Amino acid sequence: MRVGCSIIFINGYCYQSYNWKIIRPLGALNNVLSFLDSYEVDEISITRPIRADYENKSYESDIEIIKKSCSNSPISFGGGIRNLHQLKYLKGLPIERFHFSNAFIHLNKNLIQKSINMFGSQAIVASLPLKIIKKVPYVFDGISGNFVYLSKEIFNFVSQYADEIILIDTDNEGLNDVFNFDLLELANFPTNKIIISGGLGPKVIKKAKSINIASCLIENKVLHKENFIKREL
Amino acid sequence: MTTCSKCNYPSNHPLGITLNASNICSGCFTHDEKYEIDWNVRKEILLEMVQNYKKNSKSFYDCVIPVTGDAEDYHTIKIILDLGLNPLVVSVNDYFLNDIGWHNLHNLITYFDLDSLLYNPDIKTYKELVTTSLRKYNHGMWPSLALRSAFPVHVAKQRKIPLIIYGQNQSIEQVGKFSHYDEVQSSHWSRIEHDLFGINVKEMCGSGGHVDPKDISYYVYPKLEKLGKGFLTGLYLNNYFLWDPLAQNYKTLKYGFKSQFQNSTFDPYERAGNSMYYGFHDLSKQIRCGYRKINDHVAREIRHKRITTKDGLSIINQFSQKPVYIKDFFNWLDITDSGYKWFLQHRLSEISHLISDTPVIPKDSILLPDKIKKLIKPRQKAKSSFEIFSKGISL
Repeated sequence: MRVGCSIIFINGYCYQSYNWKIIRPLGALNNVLSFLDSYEVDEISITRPIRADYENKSYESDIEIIKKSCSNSPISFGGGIRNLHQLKYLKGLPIERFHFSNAFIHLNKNLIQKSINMFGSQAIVASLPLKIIKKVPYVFDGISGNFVYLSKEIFNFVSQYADEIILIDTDNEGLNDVFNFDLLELANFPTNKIIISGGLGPKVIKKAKSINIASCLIENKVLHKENFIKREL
Repeated sequence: MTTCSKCNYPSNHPLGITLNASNICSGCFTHDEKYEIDWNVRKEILLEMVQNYKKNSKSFYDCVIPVTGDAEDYHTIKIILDLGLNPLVVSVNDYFLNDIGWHNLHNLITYFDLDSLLYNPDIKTYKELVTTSLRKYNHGMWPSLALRSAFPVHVAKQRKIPLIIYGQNQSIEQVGKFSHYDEVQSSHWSRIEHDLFGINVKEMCGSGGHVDPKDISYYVYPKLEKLGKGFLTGLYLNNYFLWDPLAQNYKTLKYGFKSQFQNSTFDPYERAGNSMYYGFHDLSKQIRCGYRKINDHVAREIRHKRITTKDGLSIINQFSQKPVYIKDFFNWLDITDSGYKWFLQHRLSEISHLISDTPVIPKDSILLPDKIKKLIKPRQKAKSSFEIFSKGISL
């Protein structure tokens, strides 16, 4: 099982997210990537959180910063990729994989298919920020800014096109060792295609390994201690 | 530039800051955690952690405590001793102390009867780095910050002391970069990102800085990887105790700490005895960040409910216009009169109205709330500035 780190990056700066509500500053992208490299993370997921009330103006300047960044770790990138024009900007980036959220939730076959054509099917990852409401899984729709029912159509579309699926526990995001494994059962994707994030810690990661999860993306915490991964796991 | 609607902090804070939908900054909403945390539980967590280190330590000392002689160091040391730990206090001479600063450092060591190490860096190299830092970044304190954040880690490594304990994590207290619940610890990343503003020591060598890399080993963070996982842990006490700097610093007067009457702020404790902090550093902060140290103190006191947002703005505006005498810093740096004039003309022209030709004598001319006034007296005026070395104790 891979153990990586997820970071939020927008307007040229990295942030930390807590409970899908609170945003705290983190630091400059180059410093963050450089230290995550030195901590030997297996992968780094960079997300630009473009929600309903956010503007996407910094898309191009953010891409330019990522383009100039140096990292030896495999990077996946997503957030705010809404159309073919924006997709073209991603060519030539030092990035292995791309994750899409709204394109999957809104069944945007055209964008996903073009992405597959451009980068290969192994490079396409679905990112699903989840929440359980009355024992039913809901997924965050960044365009409407609301959680919507994780329907069978979305499930089938994700299963067909995504090489792997990031399941984010939005309620526990930023908290320590409290990922809700019920999400896996309710979302019902094969565990060997699943990457979990939100509320990760040593115990959660141990359990994830025991059930053959593909990867764990630790949010925020990797930079909260010297050499977090070697020390805690 | 946007500012926090509660504490008036600007959105371009150098440590990074976020504003929520109500325009309240991350520093303010993180500060509110202080009133919901059960601090007794937090203290128990800390106790358990340090007892484990104490039990397994192979060193005579349980922990390293980096100090400058600040009031906060007194508060920190008191907590450490109450926890039953045997600390080694480590200090770096940044050559910026005045008579009050030297008194406070030596009084800290003698009052609490501590074992201590004071590192005096080679002054020629140090001044060269200060000059380079000034020239490249308008920052006179970078070498001091680099040494103070690396040297105690070297000492811990060399003496196999597995724990370093700091007072507050500035990035939590000022901008709420982390939640108290994160129990964030010190790290190499944090040092570069917060203490050194992303500037690596390599950038101080070459390109005009006549410094040999072999002379600056203590400015560089030591390699810890070979010591095994989890060898060194750096804890911040403000994750485990409710941190209220002005109130707790006031209480350190009873240990013989001397507070300093400042002209540019009402806070007589933070960096009392430092000739640089409210001198050149305060002005260069205005140029680099667009605000002065008074903003930090007002934001802190608004959050602690001793100043209102409206009064805070007025206090900031008044203190921000207070003049500063900086020639003593340039004299210490061996800058010629013509060099000083060049710097004023080319690097400080936008704040020339804030530069005084003569030393400034602090006066109480700004109306402060009673809640503040009762915590800031008595204060002392410094008799000297930039004392290279001094015991500071009259026998």
